[in-house]
Amino acid sequence: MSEGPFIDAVNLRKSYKVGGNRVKALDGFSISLDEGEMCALMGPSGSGKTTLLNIIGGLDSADSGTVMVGNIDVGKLNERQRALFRKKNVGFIFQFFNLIPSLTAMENVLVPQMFESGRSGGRAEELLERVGLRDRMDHLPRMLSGGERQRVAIARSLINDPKIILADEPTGNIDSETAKAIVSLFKELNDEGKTMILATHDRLVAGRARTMVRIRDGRVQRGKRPPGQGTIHLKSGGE
Amino acid sequence: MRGDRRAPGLGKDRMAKRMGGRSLGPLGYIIKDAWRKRSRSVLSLAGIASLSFLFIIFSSMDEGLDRYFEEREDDVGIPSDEEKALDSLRGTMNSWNYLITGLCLGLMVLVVANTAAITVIERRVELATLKALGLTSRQVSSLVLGSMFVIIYGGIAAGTLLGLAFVPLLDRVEFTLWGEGIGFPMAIDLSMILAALAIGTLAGIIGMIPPLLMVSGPNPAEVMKNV
Repeated sequence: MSEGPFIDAVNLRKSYKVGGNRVKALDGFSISLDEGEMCALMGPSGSGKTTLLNIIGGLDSADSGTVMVGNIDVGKLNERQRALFRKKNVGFIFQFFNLIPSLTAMENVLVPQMFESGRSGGRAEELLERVGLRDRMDHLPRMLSGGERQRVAIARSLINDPKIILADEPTGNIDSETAKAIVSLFKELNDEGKTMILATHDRLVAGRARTMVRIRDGRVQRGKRPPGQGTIHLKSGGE
Repeated sequence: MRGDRRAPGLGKDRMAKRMGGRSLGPLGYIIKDAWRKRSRSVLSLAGIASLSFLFIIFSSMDEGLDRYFEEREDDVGIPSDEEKALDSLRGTMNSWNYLITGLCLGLMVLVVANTAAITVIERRVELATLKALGLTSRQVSSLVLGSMFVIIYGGIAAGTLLGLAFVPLLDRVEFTLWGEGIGFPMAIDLSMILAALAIGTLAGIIGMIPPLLMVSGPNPAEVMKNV
């Protein structure tokens, strides 16, 4: 474990052009998280949650500000290095699962390792068993329910054993019973040491996270951590 | 898991499911992708096959005429009306040769570019997801390129085989040319097949440039934001 925060995002700014206007997605957002943290990002749609996840995960770049993950300055990586960074360190989970329709559950889990010479189905099988889908591994996504698809997506996010899991509205498209099981799975993963950031509207999900950050208009509105569980560094506003 | 309803298995998915394996490589992905979009794949393949067929038939006519006159190089007898007609046609065929080759290449480029562009636009979220999961732009591009080359070479193989099967039949047919009934000499040569492959490869390279730029261009986060 490295000294200092594991994820350190400082003064992030990001704006998008929507129509003729520039919309600020992040407006001087800063956050520091320790390794093994489980953080819930809450806030209304368009508040900047997804943008923050994308920037931390190296999927997007900030207009200004820095993101350090471990000792890596994510903003300074080129496109290829970012792809490798994502592959090695980050597991993404999306609201709409983003499974490949023509591939079975097993093959979907193996997608991140598609170009690796030593790929094997062994780990994918283990992961599918872990998420309770051993008997569904040869099924196509359209033959699975929403909860099952999300569990395939979770197994896929774990195939390269990443240190960070970034989940964008992971329970946004599944029923509440299934959501509970998904949240328990997240908790398990966090207990194993995975650093998790979950963007969510769901209080159930946020309630299980040790840290909760409310975002509004690209700024930290409020940060909360139960007493006696380390420190969270939240700086609202920016310069 | 309670409350987690399972969707029933669908009959039309049986084949795709059966193709499932315990490992996934780029080739497996490409084949499954072609299978998923089989109606479009078959349509594009048929287009390329027709052009290859046209190219093979025309080339075998050209080759047949050349061989016919090569065999008669030492024949100093007065040419018959049929020979005169063939000689006249030979000149036309030679000048048309480039035109037909260019036409086949141009149309193949259109087929490839159109099919690939539609594929990339339709699958922009899937391709962005692949990038999000850690595949580099080059790897994603190679998957798209691979899918198209399966169609291109599949089409060329089908068109060439069909052409090769038709050449002996056409060789026996008698045409009426300028009032004369003539048997049209046709011949097959390995160079025709190689030329068809070369045209297909060139069409693939040219036709894939715009779609590949589309693949490498957009930021995956931007694409997924608009889902």
